[in-house]
Amino acid sequence: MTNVDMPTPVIVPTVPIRHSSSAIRYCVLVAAAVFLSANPARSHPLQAEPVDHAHVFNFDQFYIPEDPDELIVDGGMLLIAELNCAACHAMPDAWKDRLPAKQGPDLSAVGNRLNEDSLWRFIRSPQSRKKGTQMPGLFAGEEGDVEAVEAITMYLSSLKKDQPKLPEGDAQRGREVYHTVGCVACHEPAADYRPAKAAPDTVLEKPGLSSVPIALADDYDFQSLAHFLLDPLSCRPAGRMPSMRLTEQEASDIAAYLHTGRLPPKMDERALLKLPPQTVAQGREAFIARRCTSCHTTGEDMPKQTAKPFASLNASASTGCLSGKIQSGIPRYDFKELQTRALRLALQRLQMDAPAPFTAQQTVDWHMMRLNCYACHDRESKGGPEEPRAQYFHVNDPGAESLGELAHLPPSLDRIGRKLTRDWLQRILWGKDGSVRPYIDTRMPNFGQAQTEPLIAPLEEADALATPVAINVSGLEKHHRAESGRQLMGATGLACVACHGLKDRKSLGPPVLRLTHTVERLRPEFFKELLLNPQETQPGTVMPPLFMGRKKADQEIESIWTYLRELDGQPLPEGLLSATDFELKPDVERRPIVFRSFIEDVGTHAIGVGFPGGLNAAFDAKTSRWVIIWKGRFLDAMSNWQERSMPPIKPLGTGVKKMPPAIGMRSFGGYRLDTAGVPTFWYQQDGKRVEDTLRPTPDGKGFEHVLKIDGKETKETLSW
Amino acid sequence: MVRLKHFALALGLLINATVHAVEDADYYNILTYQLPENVIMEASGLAVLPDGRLAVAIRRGEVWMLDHPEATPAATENVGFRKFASGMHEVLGLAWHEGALYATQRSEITRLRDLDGDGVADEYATASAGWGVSGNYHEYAYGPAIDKEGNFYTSLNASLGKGWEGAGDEAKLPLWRGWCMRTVPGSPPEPWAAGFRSPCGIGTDLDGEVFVTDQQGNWFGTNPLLHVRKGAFFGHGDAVRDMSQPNSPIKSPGKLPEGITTAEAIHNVPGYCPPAVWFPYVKMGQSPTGFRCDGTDGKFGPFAGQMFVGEFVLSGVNRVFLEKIGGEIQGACFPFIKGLQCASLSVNFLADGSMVIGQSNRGWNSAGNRPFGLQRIVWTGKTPLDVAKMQAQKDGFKFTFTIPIDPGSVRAKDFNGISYTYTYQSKYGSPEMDTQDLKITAADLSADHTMIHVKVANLRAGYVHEFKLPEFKGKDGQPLWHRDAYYTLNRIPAE
Repeated sequence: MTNVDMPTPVIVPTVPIRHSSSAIRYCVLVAAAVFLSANPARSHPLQAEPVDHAHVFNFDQFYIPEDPDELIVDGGMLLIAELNCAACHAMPDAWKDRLPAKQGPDLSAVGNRLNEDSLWRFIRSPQSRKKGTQMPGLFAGEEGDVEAVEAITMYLSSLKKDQPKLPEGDAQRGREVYHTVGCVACHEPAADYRPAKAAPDTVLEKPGLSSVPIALADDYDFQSLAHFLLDPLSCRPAGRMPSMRLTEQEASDIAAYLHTGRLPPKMDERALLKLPPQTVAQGREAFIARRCTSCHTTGEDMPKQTAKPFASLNASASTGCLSGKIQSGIPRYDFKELQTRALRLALQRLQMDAPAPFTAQQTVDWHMMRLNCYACHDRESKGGPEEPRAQYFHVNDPGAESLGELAHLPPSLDRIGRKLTRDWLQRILWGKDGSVRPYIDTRMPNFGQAQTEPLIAPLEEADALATPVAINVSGLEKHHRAESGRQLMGATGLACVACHGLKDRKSLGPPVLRLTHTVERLRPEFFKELLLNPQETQPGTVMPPLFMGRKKADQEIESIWTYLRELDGQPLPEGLLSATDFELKPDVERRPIVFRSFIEDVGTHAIGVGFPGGLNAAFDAKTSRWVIIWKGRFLDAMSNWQERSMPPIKPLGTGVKKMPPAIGMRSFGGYRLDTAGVPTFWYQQDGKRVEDTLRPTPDGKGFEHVLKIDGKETKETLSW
Repeated sequence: MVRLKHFALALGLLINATVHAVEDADYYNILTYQLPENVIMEASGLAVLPDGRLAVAIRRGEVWMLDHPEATPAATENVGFRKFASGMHEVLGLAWHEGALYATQRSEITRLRDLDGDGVADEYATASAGWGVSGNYHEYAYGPAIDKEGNFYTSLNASLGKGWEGAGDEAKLPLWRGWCMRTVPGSPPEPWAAGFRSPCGIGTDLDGEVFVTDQQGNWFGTNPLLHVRKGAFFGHGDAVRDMSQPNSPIKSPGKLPEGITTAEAIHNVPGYCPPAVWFPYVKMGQSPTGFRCDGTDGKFGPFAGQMFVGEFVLSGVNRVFLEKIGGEIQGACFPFIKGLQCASLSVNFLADGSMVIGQSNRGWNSAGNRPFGLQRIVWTGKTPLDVAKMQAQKDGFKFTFTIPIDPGSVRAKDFNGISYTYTYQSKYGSPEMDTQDLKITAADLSADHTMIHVKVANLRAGYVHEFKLPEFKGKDGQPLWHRDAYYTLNRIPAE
């Protein structure tokens, strides 16, 4: 069971999960894997053991011959969807929404990707050039076939587009990226690549599930391959090859790596045929006549030829795609026996009944099967990476190692529809970002909006609670104060910062996800549900039940939400806050800093003056005199700038020296800054105007104290 | 970034939210200033200079100068932000007067001048100081408001707790807390009016009369707008102590009664001045702040001369209509705009007639989701159907509307209202007390369809009269923008 692969411990369901194939296949293949991995000749992913049938990942994963017909029929539906039968055969009306046609690869730049010979070989017999491909063969070698293949080759070769040049790739780097960002969740890992997690001296297990074939990659033009890897959705809009959010350099590097597996060029059969030259126009005609347009687009409008509607197909006909004898023009898929059985059952079902309505969860499951979300994620105890592939899901932060699978593996999707906001789901599924786990190398691929949008509303519906958790995020309650939340999160509060970082600061302990985007990411109701009962809400989480038994849990959670909502512009919680975040630093400003505050030993009318070089003083505007001078660090503005209670602040430096008391009756006037920013204070003393300045002596060891009384200047030096 | 903000979203969050048939954005656009990076623009004071620049005081003790505050889009590079002054102690108000900026710090009003013309202040001169500062954090000082004669007014928060022993003599006896001080330039501040709690808005109307907004809490059943005059006592008990000082303009009322209504306090508490307007708690927000009267001569829409009051918790702005009855100013409040990005703290009008709102919610809660910022409210030019004036009559109220209303939609039986007062007590806040339904006997529409005279058989002096207006329509079919109106009827006109 793939249960063992789950990122979080899951209660084993009482009803067995219907898929069991992976476990069985896995056992059978271990021996073979051991053998194969020892063979250096097969080390590259392109040289993976070829699949001998039209490969639909989740069909192989979840269906085995031992399954009864009532299960296998669902597998047949999956094949009909993935092999795109509806592109040629019109669906009965009742099934049109359930099994819509899937858009095949766009060929408008295929001439850049493959040269004439490569195109020719692939069109002539897709299965022999790329075993396991979902592209059917249409040419059985009957009369006219060779000319048609040649003509289509000419037409497709003419389809070219200018594309910007991507950087040179580095195969070694590409090999690393290929094995760490998630490619190997579906594609074959190289047998000679050891994931960092694999214990030394052990034989590397080979994946039990067959890999999605990539055997054509080495025929691709390097630049086109890099472009394809950079943005697969633009030529494969169906999203089965999602974007891995690669940089241009990464795309080039992987392309370079895939080119290292290039096979030696084959003997040129095409030339040996010595066919009369075919024109592009002839090829275009053949392209339409052979129904290529049912699946493919080329950037120009072309008519689509339809085949028999589903209603009139005969599941047990002696000719046709399910029969043993496939004529020219009939798509040949190389089905394995179980696939033929599944397709026959599904065809019968289609012709008999309307589809049973899906529950929201069934809809979710259907889309997750089609897009192979299960390769990485589990949901409702189904899916998740199998063990031999899971070891490639790696962390880059050693601090996360101790979190085990929680940190390594992509998260479980249980309850995800009530956990994430719609906006965040969209970002993850088709947006640009959305990752909050920087310690995981594996990336969440982008499947494109068209493919994943139908998943969102059913996810929300399937996961909604009958009675949603109540949380008030109006901001209108007195406890809706960011500062209260900040204090709760801090090291001397509930210490959320022990595990969670914020913004650019790491947590004090393990690097579990940072909470910077919490309010954009999480629905507030889920946030509260999780905090009130972490294990129940996210089984297996390491989040402790901090709020259990706390009388004001509701209010506290709302306070924290308020803080996170206003995070941008707020100081960090204690613990993450650096001791110097609010420190006033004359050395950094390179000018004196004047700062008025409540200062200890000075009073409530204190004006601190800090000079570059580490000499500081404080003037009392009430008694009009310098009260203290000190050396080293100046003052911390935290009290004035952040704390509601504004406690008096202390000089941060050392050598605090008190100045003598004032003489005479004084009345404060203010201060002026000279061009260097040095303040001169003025006051009236017994009717005379006094101007009073402290400035560092030239050697920086003490102050020069300048007094100007009614224009008459006196100086003294203060050293201490 | 400049953003057109739609209020419908925020409205859903509000308790007691009025259902709006139209979005505020039809009438007023909200533009958000993009702020320079790493500037914590907790905008506590706004002063518009004669040349159109906007000076913004922030709670971190700085003043920022915005060269082009009307720039659209309000990107930092278009607006031009420059730091003008720094190092002050929690500035909570800013004004421009006779060629200089005046900022109120915790312990003084400071005149800021740029003597060498380099665009940065180099003189920080004390313009007024001498009130007590014990070090208790509640001792905020707000202002200055400046009257027609050029006198300065500072409202001082009550201490509301213990001082810091390091404050010396002032630790135990900080003078004039909970008072409003007047400073005649060149003289020390003199105590002027008393009985404030947390008077966080201070300003003048267009005639130069000084007003203060204060906060619900002890002695204030809900939030008031107070008309400041020499010797006025507004009821907060903490201010009584200093009435025994020789220069107090107020005679101590002695021990204050507890548990009577504020309507009764008008007669029973010696010297007590009722608020010109009560803002009913929650219904009209929970915390009025800075305010400004609309002197734009119509550039801000149909409410020229009226007062716009920042609302902290709702992150919005309310509107106040004032009139003089029997020699005293009283009036009504109405909702105006909610759903700003952050708590409103300061309000002003730019030269182009748009309103600018300074924002910070540090230390308290608010519906907005930003910790600080600046926004502009710009009239779209479309006139909403709204109450322009609500005037007390001897037999009811006269509602004047901004545009003629559809006569078919006005029926006396659709008018509803209640009246209530509050408890006057040292305990915190008060529910609405002694509530009665208004007995509405007629709703007469004027011949020009712009005024409705609502006749009420049971007017009560000293009570708030609250109306939920019917959903009538303008003659052009547009719905009434705001249906809520709250008149504080301290006095019933004789005629």
